[in-house]
Parts: sequence; structure tokens; C-alpha cells
Amino acid sequence: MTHTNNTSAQDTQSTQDPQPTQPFEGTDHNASHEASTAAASDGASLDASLALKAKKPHGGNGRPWLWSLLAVIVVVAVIVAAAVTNGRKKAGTTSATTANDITLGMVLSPTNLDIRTQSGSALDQLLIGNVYESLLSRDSDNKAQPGLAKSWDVSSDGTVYTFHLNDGITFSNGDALTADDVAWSISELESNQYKDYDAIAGYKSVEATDDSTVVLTLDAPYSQLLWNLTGRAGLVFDKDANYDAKTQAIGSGPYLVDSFTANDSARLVANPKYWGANKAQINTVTIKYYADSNAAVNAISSGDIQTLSGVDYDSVKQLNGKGYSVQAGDDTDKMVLAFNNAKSPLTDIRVRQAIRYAIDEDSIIAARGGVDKALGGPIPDLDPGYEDLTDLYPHDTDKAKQLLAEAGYSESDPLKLTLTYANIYSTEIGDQLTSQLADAGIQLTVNRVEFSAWLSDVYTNHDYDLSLVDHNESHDFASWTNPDYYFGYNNATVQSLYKQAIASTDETQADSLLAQAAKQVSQDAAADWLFNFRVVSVWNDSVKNFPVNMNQTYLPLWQISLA
Amino acid sequence: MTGKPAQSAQAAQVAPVAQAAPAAQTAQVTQSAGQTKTSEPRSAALRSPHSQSPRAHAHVHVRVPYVVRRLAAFIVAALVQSAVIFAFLRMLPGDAAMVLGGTTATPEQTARLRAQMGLDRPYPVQYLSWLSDVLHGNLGVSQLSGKAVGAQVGVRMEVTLPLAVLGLAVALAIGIPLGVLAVTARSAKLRRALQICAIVAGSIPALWGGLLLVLIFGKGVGLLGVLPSQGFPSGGWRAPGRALASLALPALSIGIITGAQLLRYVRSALVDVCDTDYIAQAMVAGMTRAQAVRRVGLRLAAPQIVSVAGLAFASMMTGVVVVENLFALPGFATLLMNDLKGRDFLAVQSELLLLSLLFLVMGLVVDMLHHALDPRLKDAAGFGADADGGAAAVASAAVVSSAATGEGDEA
Repeated sequence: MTHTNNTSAQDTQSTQDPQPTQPFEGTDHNASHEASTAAASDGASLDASLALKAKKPHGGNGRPWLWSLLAVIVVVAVIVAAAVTNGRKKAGTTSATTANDITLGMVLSPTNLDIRTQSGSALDQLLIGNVYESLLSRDSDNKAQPGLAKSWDVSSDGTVYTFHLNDGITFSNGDALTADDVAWSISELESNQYKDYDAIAGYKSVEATDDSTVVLTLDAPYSQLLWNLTGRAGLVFDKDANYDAKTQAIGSGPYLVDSFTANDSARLVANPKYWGANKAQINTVTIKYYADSNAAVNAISSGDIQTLSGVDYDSVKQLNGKGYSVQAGDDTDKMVLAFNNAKSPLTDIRVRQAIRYAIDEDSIIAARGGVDKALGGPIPDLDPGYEDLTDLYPHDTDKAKQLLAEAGYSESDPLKLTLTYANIYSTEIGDQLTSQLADAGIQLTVNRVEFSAWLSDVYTNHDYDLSLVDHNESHDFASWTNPDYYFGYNNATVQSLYKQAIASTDETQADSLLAQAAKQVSQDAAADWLFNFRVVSVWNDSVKNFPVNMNQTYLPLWQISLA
Repeated sequence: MTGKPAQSAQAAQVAPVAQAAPAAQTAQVTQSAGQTKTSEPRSAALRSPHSQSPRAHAHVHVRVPYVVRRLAAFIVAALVQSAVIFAFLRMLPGDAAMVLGGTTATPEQTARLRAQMGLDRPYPVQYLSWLSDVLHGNLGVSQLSGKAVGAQVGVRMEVTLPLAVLGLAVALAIGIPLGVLAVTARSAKLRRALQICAIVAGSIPALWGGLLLVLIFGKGVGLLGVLPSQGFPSGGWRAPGRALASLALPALSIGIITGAQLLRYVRSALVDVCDTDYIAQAMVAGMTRAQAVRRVGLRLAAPQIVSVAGLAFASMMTGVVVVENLFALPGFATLLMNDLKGRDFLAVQSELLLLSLLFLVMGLVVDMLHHALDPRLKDAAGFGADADGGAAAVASAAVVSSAATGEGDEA
């Protein structure tokens, strides 16, 4: 069978060839040379040689690709075998080591460990309270609590703060943490204008009066000071340690940084010299950073990580109850649709108000899975000065059209605006805004750019109409009082109310002044606050006490335990 | 039936143009095809396998100036590229100081950071200081991470290099045998089917292909659930089994796609060769068509295939971006993209320079292999050097621009 098949196949092939006789025309010599070699090796007539050759493709000459195919099969087999054996090994070992290590999945990664110069909540999340400790700490209601300082006194005029430190505090390198380190850390912060140096507004001096007492003096009272000292402004560093703060961290917290690779992972191990009550319950905590949310969801589904925070609710809700818990935490993230208040046509309050009326925040929240909270103004409910302002600009397309008509726009000459935002936020939200504003007759062009380009164009050069940012900092109302900030919002009443609020020594009064200022900002339609972003966390049921609230800025790892 | 080979030959020539292959690859192929077709009378090619030894002897005398010329071109190209890379990066909006400062930085804080990083110096000063560091073997310290760029790249290459090698192995194992089969298969249906498969598989975005593989094989999420779909073991290659397993799916996702593209190149190169008289002559000499294609055709098409495979390897170093991202692999492409996003110019400069050196070295290797595989080129050594140096320069320029624009689409 093979024999006849091959011969006939070859016959058709040679008739198919368009130039079967050409080689003979000028290269007789070579052709006969080739033919004679073939004939010699076969030692027979042409017909016989053809017949012999015809059998070979299945035996000898087919080998090159057969071999390659075999090679692929072998490679795949080896890989599969390696995977299977490795899978078995892993299954065997995980149960034995669960009590002592955990892997957490996060979305945003810090770029280095230098918390004094680099911004971003991912660094706060990783280091504050875990590796470095602050003078004060914060609870899950975002209130200041004792930290390195066990107590404090405030002078009656509100300008002198005396902090009493806990006893026996040590850094992870063995150095004792004394009042000298605290005073040095604060004075370095101020003189080098490190991140959040302005969180100690009106700073005058800091002094260690003895080993465990620090006196901080201000020019004027500042009602936000205590909370601010729970964050970066209150961090205490070892004045005698010499290390590269970008790649290493020496603090007094319950964990040490074992290794850190930006955009990949951080590995923390329990600090054996830890001094205080917040002892680590899990020896090794690895945090994996996922740029791709598909990858992150795959990782938690396959058990590579035990918790995951910061992904869309819709992408993980199906895991709820199937060995996992899915929950949204309260947070101070404000998704702000920023208006360039200093640039025409947004200098016109009617235009800004029209945009606020045109936007239906509830449908945006619903499209995102319905876990976020409505937010009508610049202060979220975890911060002082919160008031529900969602009624100020209800969704009303007709009113928006009317305001636009008053401002001189019409169907033939519509308002055209550009929305510039960083590609860390989804395209969907831009699409939704485009269609909502289109209903009110506003033509929106969406320009989604890299974060660095956004920082340059929008944040630094103020070259934009509308922008979209998740401002997740707590206690950050001050940006509405700074006309040079990229919002370009300048209202003397707001600035004066804020000044009074922070200078007030009475907490209730300070809160009510802040609330007034926030209402004014919202009434002026200085921006549209789309929603109070709530961070969704998923954790494997073996994980206990995973911090759900505010875990993007403050993640007390020492609370977490394994069942 | 009679018109069939001519038709498929035409189709094959259209195919590489129609597909969305990097321009550099296409350029390289047509160039090599040009050399194969025009450079020598066919008698020489047929004779040369038998007369290789005397020619190899003569070759030694030719090679010295050729290598020198080739290296000079290499150095000039590298210098030009360093300048191009430096200039292109400075056109991007933003810098590392802004990125570190974020949305809470005051202008003074940003200016202070900029001064610390030396970003406030004039561009020529920055360029020359970087160049002199690089010439001293110092790739600099990352402005963002504070780690040495060389060490950082080294760690990432432990993932990316094996990934690219495995990917290429998969691609070659698919592309060459199936490419040959697409020409020699007796059944016209099979040939057609292979061609269609190649077009379909070659145009799958790596992201989709990867996701599909995860859904089939991914541990915990896939149907079969045998292979890890996430990350690289933290111990690296100290656990070779786990490391290899974690690279299996990523290597398959890029390997299959590149393999499908390679299949089409192999096929069209073979069809081109079949149009020449060598195959006919070999058949007259007694081989079947399939034998002639495999024995003579593959050999004649080898230089083109090597060129394409070489460039495919080099472009895999950048093409792995999507795959590394999807499989959460801490590889070189992820590093490059993150440094670019963070505007860590010093790190990106050095990384891109390394990448373009890789392209240049691949060009050099491919060129040397050409000489080994195609005896006809030995007579025209100078021509080959210029052409391949140029192609490598084009290719690495393409990398720079694709790296600069590519990250915009990524989210």
C-alpha cells in the first residue's frame, strides 16, 4: 500500500511542478553529477531508485521534524512531571507551615522603602505600625491612640505638647529608642521638608527634656496635630543607625523587612527584639503585588495567596462563602472628579454646577458593584468635619441644561471639555461620565494617560479641564485652601474657616468649622465627588482578624492570625 | 490541480506582509530572500557543499577584516543608540522626582528631590556622566529603588532569559516541522489547514492565549489544574522543578504564537526555494518532492529561518511584557515597564541600552551563522556586514519606540 501510494503521489507532484525540465537547459553537467551520485548509491536504474527512495520518507528522511516533535513532547512531559511532583510536595508542606507564614495580595506597590521622601499610601500600608512606629497610633475608627508615647499633655493655649514615652523601647538593631531619637526625627523632618513635614503646622521647636520626655512647641494651636502624629509626621527613626533607607528599614515595630522588590513582593519577618504589646502572631508575612487584576484573582483562587485587597468587587464576589470571605472596608478614599477652577470655562460656577447636576453618582456606584458610598463633599465620614452633602446637587439633567443655556451654550454650540486621568483607573468610569454628560449636552473627550504624564500635565502644569483621582489621604481638606494646588480653587471664606478650625483648641468647634468649610466647597461646585471608594478585601477562611477598614493606608499585620 | 503550487506560492508571499509582524522582521526576511535569489548562479550553490574545505581555508584570511568592520559598526551603532535612547526618554512627560512626590508633593519638595537625583543638571552633562559610568561597567543606581541597575537586571534575567529560551524552543519545535509539513504534505487539505491554523494562532493576542492556557492548565482555576499560573518561586532556581513549572505556561503562551508566525516564515521561505530550480533538479536526481524540500530546500532556506529565529528571540525579550504581566513573573520586561512608568530614567536608559546591545549581538550571531550556513556569502562578506548592522539598528530603534509607546496601552 505505501509503495503505490508514494509513487502516485510523486507522479502528481512532478506534473504539478511548473518548471520540471528547466534544470537540464544549461547545467547538464551538474545535473548528471547529482543523478549519478544518486544512481551510484542506489546501484540500480532510475525506476528502481525512485521506488527505493519512495519508502524512505517514512523511515529515515522524515526524522528531522519527527525528532523535533518528539523533543516537544519530551519537554512538555518533563514540565508537566515537574509541576505535578512539585504540586504534591507543596500540598504536603502547606499544612505543616500554615501557622508560621502567610502571603497577602495587594495591588499598589511602593517603589522603595524610603518613607521620608516617597509619597503614596502603599508605603504607609507596608511600613507604618509594622516596621516603623509613630509617636501615636490609630484605631480602626481612625482616632489617635497611644503609640510609642504612652501619654501626653497639652498646654492650655494649645501650643506646647509634652509626650511621655513607653519604657524599654528598642529598635530592631538593638539600639534603645529614647526621647533623643524622637526629637531628632521630628527636627530632621522639618529641616529637610520630608513628606508630611507640613503635618506639624506652625512647628517651632522640639526638645528631649529627659530620656523619656519630648516637648514639641508650636507657634499657634493646631487641632489636627495628634492625628497627624499617628502617620508619617510622627515616625521615629534611629538617630545612630546608618543605613540606606531606600533598601533597608530599621524601626521599632513588630516586623522587620527581610526583602523588598518593587512591583513584585515584600517579605517581612517577626522582630525578635520587639518591645511592645503588638507582638507578631505570624512569623513570616509575604506581600505580593499584582499589577494585573486577573493575575491577582487567579492567585487567590488557586491558593497562592491567602488574602487580596484592592480589586473590583465584581471580580471576586463569586468567591464569597466558598471558603473565602469578601468584604468592603470603610476608608477615606475620595474619588474626585476635579475641575480646573482656575481655567475657563470652569471659572464659571454655572458650568461647574451643570456638571454636578448632570452626573448620576448612584448609577456609577451601582455599575461598580454597589459597594462604594455616595459622597457629596470633600470630607468622608471617617474624618472630622463630615456632613452628608449628597443632597446639594441631585442628579437633574434638565437643571444642568438650563444652567448651560444661561452660561451661553446651546445644542449648536455645546460645551466641550477634556477629561484627563491616569490609566490606573478604569476606562469604564470615563465612558460613563462621557455618556452622562452627553445627556446634558456636554461633549466630553477622554484622555487616559500614564500616571507620570498625569503628574506632569495635570498635577504640576495644571493643563487640564477635568480630571479624576482617588485622593485616599485622610485629613486632607487643606488642599481646598491652597490656590496653588491643581484644583485651582480659591475662596477666602473657606480659607479663613479652615484657619479657624485648625487653630481651635476645642474639638467640637473645630469639627463644626471644618464642616462649614466643606459645605462651602461643595456648594461652590469646586469638584464632583463621585463616591467614597471602599476597598474590597477577600480572605481565605483560615485567616483571622484581617483588617478590613482603611487597609490601604494602615494595615496592622500583627493583628492577623491563622486558624 | 496543475495551478496549485503557483497559487500557494503567491499566497505565501502575501502572508508575511499581511500579518502584523514587527517591521524589522519582515525587512530582514525580504533582505535575506533577496540575497538568496540574486547573489550567485545556482551552479555554485550546488557545487559548494562538496567543495567546502578548500573554501573554508581561504575564508580565514577574509574573516579578520570582516570581523573588525563588523565590530566597528557594532560600536558606532551602540553609541548612536545610547544617544537616541537618552533623547527619547527626555521627551516623555514627568520625571522620577514627580513620581516619588506623588499627589501630595509641594513644588519645593519636588525640586529638592530633583536636585538630589541630579536631574537638574543640563542634559549633555547628564548624558556624558551616564555614558562614562556605563563605559566603566557601572550601569548606575536606580533613582526609584536605590538598587544597582546591573544587579536588578541580573536578577530579572534569571526569569526572562530562561522564559525566552523555552519560548523559542517551543516556537522552533512548532514552527519548523509544521512549516515543512505545510509544504510537503500530500494532502492539499492538510496544507491548507496548517496555513489557516498558523494564521489564526499567530494572530491571537498573547494575553488571550495565556488566559486560555491558564483556564485549561492553571492550578486552582483551570480544568486540568496541573501547572502554576502565578508568580515565580521566591527561592528562584534553587527549586528548579518549581521554577521550570512556573515558566511552563508563560513559555507555551509566547512559544505557540511565535511558533505559528515562524511556521509561516518557514513555509514561505521553502515555497520561495521551491520556485528555484534546485528542488526540481534534486527531484530529477531521484528524490521525491518531500525529500527534496527537506534535504535541499530546508538547507537553502536555513539562512532566512535563522534570521527570523534570531530576531524572534530578541523580540521575545520585549514581547514577554504581556506574558510576564499576566503570569505575575518578576522578569526583565516587567522591570523595564515599571521603571518606565516611574520615569526612572537612569535605570531605563541602561536597561534599554542592554536590550539594544542584545539586538546587535543577535544581529552579529545571525550574521556569523549566515556565513556558516550559506557559503555563497563568503565572497560578499562586506555586504552582509552593512546590511545586518543596519537591520539590528532598525530593530533596536523599534524596541525603544515600542517600549515608549507600549506602556501607554497597558493598564
